[in-house]
Amino acid sequence: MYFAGKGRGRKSWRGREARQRTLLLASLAVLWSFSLCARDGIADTVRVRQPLKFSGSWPAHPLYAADASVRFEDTLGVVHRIGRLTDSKAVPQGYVSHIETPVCSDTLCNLMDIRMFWTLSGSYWGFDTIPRKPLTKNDHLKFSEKDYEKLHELLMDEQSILRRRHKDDLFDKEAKRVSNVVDAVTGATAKEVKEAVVDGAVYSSYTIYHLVHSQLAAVIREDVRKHLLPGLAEKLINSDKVDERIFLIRELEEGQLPDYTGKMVETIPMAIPRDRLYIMKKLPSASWNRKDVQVPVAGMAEFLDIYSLSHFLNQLKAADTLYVDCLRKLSERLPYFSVNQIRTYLSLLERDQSFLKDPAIVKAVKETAADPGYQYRSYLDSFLAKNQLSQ
Amino acid sequence: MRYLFSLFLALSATCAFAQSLLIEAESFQEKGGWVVDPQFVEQMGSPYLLAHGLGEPVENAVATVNFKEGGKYHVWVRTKNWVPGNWTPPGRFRLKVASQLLATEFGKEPMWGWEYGGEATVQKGNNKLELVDLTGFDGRCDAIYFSRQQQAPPSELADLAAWRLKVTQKPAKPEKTMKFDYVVVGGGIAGCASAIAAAEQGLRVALIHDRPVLGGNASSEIRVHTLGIYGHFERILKMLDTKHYPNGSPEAYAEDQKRHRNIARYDNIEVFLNWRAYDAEAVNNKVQSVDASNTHTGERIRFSAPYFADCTGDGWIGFWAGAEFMYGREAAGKFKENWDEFGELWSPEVEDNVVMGSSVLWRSYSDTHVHEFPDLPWTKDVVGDYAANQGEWQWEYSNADLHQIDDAEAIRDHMLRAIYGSFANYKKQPKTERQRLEWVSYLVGKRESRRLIGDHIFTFNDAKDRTPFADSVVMETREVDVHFQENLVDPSKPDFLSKAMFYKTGKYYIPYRSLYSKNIDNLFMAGRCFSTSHVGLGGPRVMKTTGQMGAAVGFAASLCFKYRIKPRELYEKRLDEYMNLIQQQKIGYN
Repeated sequence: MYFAGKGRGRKSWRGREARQRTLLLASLAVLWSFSLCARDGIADTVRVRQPLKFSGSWPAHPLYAADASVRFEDTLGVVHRIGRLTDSKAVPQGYVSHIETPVCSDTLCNLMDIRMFWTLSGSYWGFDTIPRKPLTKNDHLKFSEKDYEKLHELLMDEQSILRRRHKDDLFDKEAKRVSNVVDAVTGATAKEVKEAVVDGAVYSSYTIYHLVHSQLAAVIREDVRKHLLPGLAEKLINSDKVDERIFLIRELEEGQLPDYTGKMVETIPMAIPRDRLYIMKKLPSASWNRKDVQVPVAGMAEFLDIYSLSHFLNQLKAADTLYVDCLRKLSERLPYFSVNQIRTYLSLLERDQSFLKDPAIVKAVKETAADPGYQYRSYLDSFLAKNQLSQ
Repeated sequence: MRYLFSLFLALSATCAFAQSLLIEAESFQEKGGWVVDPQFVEQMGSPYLLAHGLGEPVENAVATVNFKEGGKYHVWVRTKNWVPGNWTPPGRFRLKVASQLLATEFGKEPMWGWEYGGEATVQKGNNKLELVDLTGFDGRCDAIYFSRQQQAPPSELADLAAWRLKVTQKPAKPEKTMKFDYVVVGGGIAGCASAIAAAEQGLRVALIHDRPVLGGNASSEIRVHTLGIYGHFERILKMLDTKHYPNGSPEAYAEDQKRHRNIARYDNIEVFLNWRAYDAEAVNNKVQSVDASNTHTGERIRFSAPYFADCTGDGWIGFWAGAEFMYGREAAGKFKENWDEFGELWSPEVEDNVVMGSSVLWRSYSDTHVHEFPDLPWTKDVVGDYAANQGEWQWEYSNADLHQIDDAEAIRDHMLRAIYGSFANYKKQPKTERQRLEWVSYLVGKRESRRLIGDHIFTFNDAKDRTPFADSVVMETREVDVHFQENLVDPSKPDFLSKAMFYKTGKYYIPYRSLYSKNIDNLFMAGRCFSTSHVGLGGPRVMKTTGQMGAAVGFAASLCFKYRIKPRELYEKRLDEYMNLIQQQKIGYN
């Protein structure tokens, strides 16, 4: 019994060992496949997998994370290590950090374990979970797919209500006040916050949002400024990520602007209205005299918001030289101009008789004026009469 | 600017042109459901009647007009189609002349102008005129002109103003002059507080306000609750403030009554309601007088005083008197106000004309029975599919193309389209059949416009650094709160919604030197037109804080009057006495 048993036992041990080995290998393989990184022969870097959620595109080529390019201690005293993400040629592509931070509410203080990614401009790029460490809510429920998507949406919203609220103000202190005339004041603030965050994870959402958008983003931008510019300038201004282009444009000094004027103009339609206006305001005054600025920007008029279109028209008003091609392109947008834009545009036409003789421009003005539903018809009628173009 | 000011014809007045008659709509004896709107006089020339019926036609406005000769007259109505486009104009109305309803519908032509109504027959003597609203959607009538000749009055603003002077045969200057110790223009919380403070110190005060109720943005006409702290002036401000009800609440009516009751206690405050200032005369950098006209009758008064307070919000008195002022966002470097957290949204690298916007608040309620609300094609390009049943402070409109004063009517009208369109979309949703519009303001609740420049320009840094001043007369603990339009960062959002950015700080102070004009020697200012940068305005623009400014200025005026000194000299020569007077307000109350 003993030997047999021993024999069976040995065989059993061997079998168990084999099974354990197999299990171990399988586990390693699973872990490998789920792990963030894999050694890939590049000194001091690890290969990074595509994160769970990301905005825009993720490169088809592999990315590698250098360990702790930057260290940063946040307001809670937690030290964060942020690594640069590079391609196989060591060209920086973004940043990554494994964040472990306490998330405190009135009664709980959980740890959040998450991996965050930023672009080279310090903008949020994406996040990934740590294997076997799913995100949890206050009541320790695991995040669902919907919750991860909500977190991603929140982090993509650069101007979320969370950005503008202090932690103490997440809940409306007057929520229970009752009015004689209206229903209880339920607190728009609390409602707004609730709509913005992952349900049941207000403080986690708040903490990670502020780390990503304020504290760590600032550290990343400073690293790029100090250590990567000007070498990365060409990459940034040609990036398909508009935030990276804007970041570079912000960094440009006055003397550099003429070299980048074309790229700045090219970036205008890619940007949100706030940044379009910024780019236009940053373009040197002299550049508005250039045909290769006036005409392309006029060609974008259809897509410009009221801020940037008005700014453009005002720059033309101040410019010494106007090009008929520019005014002709703008004439196509006449029916959509505001009253102030109409006034400015008509004043531009009156600066040169040749503009008033341009058949395309005159046709556009007349056709717009002829539309009985056009609200600023009287301006155009007066303009046509004054300049003897009515016939 | 004088040519812009409209003059009015008393209904019984004889017209210079024997066979013609001009009737100002706002002077109709019975307004019916029409309301007097004097907000845009400087832009379009006159107060006018507005059929603000929230989609339900309002009751007729009625006037009795005396014609010296009977017979046929050509009729013109000064009006506008406020939403031109390829749809039926929303603000249409008709005119009834001596029981004869003219066939013409008015309110169909874009821009303010005279629309021809054909001929009407009147009898010699009194004839009844009626404005008959057809839609309830904000038709507007400025004036009606009867003439034997088929010659329309001028449309250009300058020509129209000159023509009005001519036909009404009124002198350029007001017929009546009134003298006071202190004239406060603007009856918002700042103006009321200033009048009370000065009156308590014995000055004889004129309080001129262009609305029928005091309170400005806090009144039941706009309904923004008062925020901020009382500072030294709790006793005075508690006579004027509101509870912290939701913006737009009808609780504002009770606060109106409180405010009026309290102001009425001061025998030496003469309140001029429905009087709108339209000019200020300054000689050698000193305001001599302010001219105002009654928004209903057209009567005019010249107010003279040694000291004036500009509490108009838009800084009109300073503007007319030639005071230096600012408008728009200063470059971040000018006052070093940048804040990386919000970058360009907070303070731009390069200055621009963007300012915080104006709000038009509104409410709806669930009734016991069903209410229809029409589909409104003329709102679609503003609202798209956006649906709502009420509007709070976030309903705010501003952009770089619009000036908060020059384009105020366009701003108000855009907000009306936003409100009606959003509510129409809401009504398409299930279980909304009983929902009905309860109240929509027709007044723009402005946050920011002209800021007059004083000896000190209050900035973000004064709040952030909590700078102590020897002449700190106003204090605040509220965050610096600057707004931006949502569509600046998310173009998919409607253009009439805003967001706020908050900079939390401890208690900060505003010096007296920010409350009088740098270059007009006898002009104080209180309210949003005080001397501040764009970002600096973010915190103290709320009404308990502006009320503090008003009170501080009222007390300053009393000492200036006592010693016959300029506001600046009070700071330079009598600051201790002034600060003691300010401090006593708090001590006295506690």
